[in-house]
Amino acid sequence: MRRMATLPLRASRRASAFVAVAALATAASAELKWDSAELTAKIRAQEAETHASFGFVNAGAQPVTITEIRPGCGCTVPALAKSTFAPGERGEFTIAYHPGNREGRHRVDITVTTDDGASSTVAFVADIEALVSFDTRFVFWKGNEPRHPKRIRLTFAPDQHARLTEAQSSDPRFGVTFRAVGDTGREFEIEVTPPAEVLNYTAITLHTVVGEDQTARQFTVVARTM
Amino acid sequence: MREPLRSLLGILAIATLLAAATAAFRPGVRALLRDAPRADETTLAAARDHRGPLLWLDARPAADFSRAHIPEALPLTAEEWDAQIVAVIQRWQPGTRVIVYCDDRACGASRHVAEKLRREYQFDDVRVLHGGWHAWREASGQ
Repeated sequence: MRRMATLPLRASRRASAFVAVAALATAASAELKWDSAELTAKIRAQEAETHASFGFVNAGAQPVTITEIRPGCGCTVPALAKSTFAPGERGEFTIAYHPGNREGRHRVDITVTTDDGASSTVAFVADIEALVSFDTRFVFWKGNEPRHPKRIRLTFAPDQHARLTEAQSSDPRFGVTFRAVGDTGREFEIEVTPPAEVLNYTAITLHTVVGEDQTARQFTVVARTM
Repeated sequence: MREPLRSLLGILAIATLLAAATAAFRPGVRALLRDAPRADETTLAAARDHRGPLLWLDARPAADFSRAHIPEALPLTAEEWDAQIVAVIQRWQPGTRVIVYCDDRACGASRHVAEKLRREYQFDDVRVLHGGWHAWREASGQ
């Protein structure tokens, strides 16, 4: 009988210890639970800035203070209206994202650090429409390679009302011409003829106009002899 | 004496398991656990062992680059791409290993620069530095 009585008592002590340790572990992990750890936005070619907000709840048992929000790119500026959140309280921070000259899929990881030393990472993924694409933006000739002209093809995205107006070489020894190709009105071919000498380079500035208001945009391609 | 000892060991085992579980679910620890180089990354040790031309590119914001950078690294960011790419091309030649870094373990900027160099400039050997600027700083004791 005595043995029968002691077993539940021992189990009860162990259970109490388990609960105590579990409570301590929970209290130590005041952390943010994100509505979505990754946000994606489609950005048009000429959009200068876009905004997004990351919502969260303090899922821990203690108040939590956000001490730092650190984006992995200077293109993203975070803003936080309030930094301390009670247990169970909802909050958010916003970002202003500047695509600059980027295009395609661009992921920015954002690390959020709290006063308990924990950090979590959320991500903003921009799907940026390309205004223009190139088959290559760099042509080169190796030392013994014949100095035949090489071509770079530029294609504007559809519905941009864009055209190439001028191709300007920083080194006049490189000959640069361009012409429209195909029948879409969106494709251009830039032909580069190098000088005979080695170790020369040129930055070729492509002047374009884009959109209904014919905004000027420039792109650079490079040619080099080695 | 055995029973209290056994109970104590039991509690310690449970506490250890709980601590491990809690730590494993914390994002910082999770990042460390999955901190193995990806296919397009190279470690600092591998970079130092590399024989042949090597070109370091710094994809961090301009202010960070101005404060400190890997010796002989060139800045290259999406924001200043057209102004910076010419200097990069002047230093590059076929066969050069290019290693891009930025300042976060999960930094997207260096990966973006690396992809663009492969896709639009036909650079054939471009890697991302595993651990980025932090790995360099830790290794150089800064």
